[in-house]
Amino acid sequence: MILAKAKQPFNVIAVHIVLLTYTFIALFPVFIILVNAFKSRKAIFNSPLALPNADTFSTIGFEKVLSKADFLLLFGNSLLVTVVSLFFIILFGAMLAWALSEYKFTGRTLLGLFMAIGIMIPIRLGTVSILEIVVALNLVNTRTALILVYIAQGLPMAIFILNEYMSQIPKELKEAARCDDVSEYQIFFSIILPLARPAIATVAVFSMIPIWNDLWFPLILAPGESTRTVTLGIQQFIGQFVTDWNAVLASLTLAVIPILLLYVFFSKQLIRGLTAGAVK
Amino acid sequence: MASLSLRKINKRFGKVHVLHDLDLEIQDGEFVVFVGPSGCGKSTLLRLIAGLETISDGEMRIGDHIVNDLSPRERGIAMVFQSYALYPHMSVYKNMAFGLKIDGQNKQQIDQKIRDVASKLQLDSLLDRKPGQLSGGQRQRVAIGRAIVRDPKVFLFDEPLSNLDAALRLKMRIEIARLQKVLNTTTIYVTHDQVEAMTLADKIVVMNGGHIEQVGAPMELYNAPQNKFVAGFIGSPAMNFLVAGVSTDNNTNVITLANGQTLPTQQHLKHGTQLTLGIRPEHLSLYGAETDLAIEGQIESVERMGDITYIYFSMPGHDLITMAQQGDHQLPIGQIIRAYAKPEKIHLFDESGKAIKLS
Ligand SMILES: Nc1ncnc2c1ncn2[C@@H]1O[C@H](COP(=O)(O)OP(=O)(O)O)[C@@H](O)[C@H]1O
Ligand SMILES: [Mg+2]
Repeated sequence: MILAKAKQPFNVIAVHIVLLTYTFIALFPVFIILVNAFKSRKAIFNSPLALPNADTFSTIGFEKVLSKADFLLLFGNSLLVTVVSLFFIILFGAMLAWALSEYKFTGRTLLGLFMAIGIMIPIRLGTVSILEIVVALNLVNTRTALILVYIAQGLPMAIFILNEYMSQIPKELKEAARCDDVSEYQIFFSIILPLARPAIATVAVFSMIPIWNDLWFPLILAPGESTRTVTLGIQQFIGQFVTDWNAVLASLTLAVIPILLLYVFFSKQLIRGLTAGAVK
Repeated sequence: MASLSLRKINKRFGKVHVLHDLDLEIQDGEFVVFVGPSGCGKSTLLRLIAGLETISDGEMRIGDHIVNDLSPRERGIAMVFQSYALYPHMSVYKNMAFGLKIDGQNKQQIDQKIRDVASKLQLDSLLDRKPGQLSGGQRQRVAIGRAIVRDPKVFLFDEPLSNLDAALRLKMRIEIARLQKVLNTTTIYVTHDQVEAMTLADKIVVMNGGHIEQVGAPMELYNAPQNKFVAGFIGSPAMNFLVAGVSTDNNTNVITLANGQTLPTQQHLKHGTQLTLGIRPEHLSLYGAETDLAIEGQIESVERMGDITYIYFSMPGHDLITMAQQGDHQLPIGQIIRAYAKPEKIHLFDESGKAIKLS
């Protein structure tokens, strides 16, 4: 859209230069990880920027990672925690956003404000209290603890984005539904949620990456063998004196795959929602 | 029975008093049009009737039941919105089926009804499309179809044609009129367009500033407006208003125009009363008799339509006077023109705007 409007070629070029620079900066570390994951240990240190060639190509890192018994468990934990958290962030976030945008009740502004504060204050500031609560609930070393914390972490932003979007859904649609005798729950599930799909996809993309990448809460709340996530699991290859770079880079490379798949899925939803829009 | 009765209906939004003590009776099967300028409270009244807003004060009945506290569905209404309000993610078929499914009707029954209504509205070939793939007129028909399948006791339309272009508006207007005659369902239709009101209504309710100005059949409102507002609102182009007063001539009261002309009146009007005299553009003529009212002015603009000519001329102290003449008339701008009106076509309003009988 911006490009279509910018008529002068100079603007187009300038925009492209900025975007390409940013893309390059953002992708460079990923590129380094990918390239070095397929090299022998010696080659990684000798020429970290070189592409793998016949001499330096090696899959030793992947072999090590995949031969570890707990590899599937790590991925399973990460995926479970991310997907379940996402599901509830979206469900509760959408419900609360809908309530805040549609219904007038006492304390509405206060509740909205409370949620907005959640965006500004990082949840990690409350780590000590969270740990105390988790201990009190007897949830230490469970994935439930992680999921609960991630839901709390994701909700404020989800509500902010969804509330904005839902308040733009035409009032007449809801009224037409009320004339059709559709219950408030049905209005939410069969009209509002489908219409908010682009916003939901946005929320999903925004929420899932910090959860998948998080090292902090898995380390504090669920460091046990059976509840470790990928990011935590990778730490076993990083030693105080020697680090198994092959394994670290290989597992990082593998860790990108599920999140990439999720991302592709959600961005498809995003685009489908945008083109099928016609909320008129 | 789906007659409708409003008693002393009031609506307040917080401190804003939008509707004032409205009384209205609507008969079963009647086509009623609420008309009035933008912001006068037509939509609000319609939404009160629908049950989408709560009534602040007063009583509303549909048939014999007081419906103040009933939901839209319990009232048995179906509404067609200005923006159509079709569910964008559902096909035309699903849009119509949605409410029926919620009702718990069985699939075959629903299918039967939808096919039936779709053929009535020429929607057969569009049933699988999404609203985004339809033209404005088609969306409008789907919205109407969705209301019809509900088989409601009362249809409510809120400015359903205002998003359509002129040609389509005319076509849909005729279609709505035809449908209503076939279905014979009580219908309330909101518009700010007096032409729609005149052509569709059995009964017009003219509203202004949250009050009902007059209720009556279209020709009643045209021929005998009860006040200056209705007179100016109904009829197109709008009625001309002339400043007039009352003076005494040979011991009898006469109405005096600014140009010194006088009209006899049998009314007992006080000397010095300020009056407004109203003449519709179509009742002004280039030719007239001795006894006719005659006014003079300078032509400012002429619009020639072929079948009809609109002549606008200025008179000191007045807005432009409009005159509608059948046929084509070629008149030079700037020329002084004389227009005649038959005394029986003249409307008279007192200072408060209330209509007075001339004879
Ligand atoms: N929800 C609302 N809150 C406050 N004022 C409202 C609300 N809805 C309508 N109004 C006011 O009521 C008046 C009538 O509105 P409306 O019924 O929409 O007019 P119309 O349909 O005749 O154009 C307007 O002055 C409008 O500002
Ligand atoms: Mg309106």
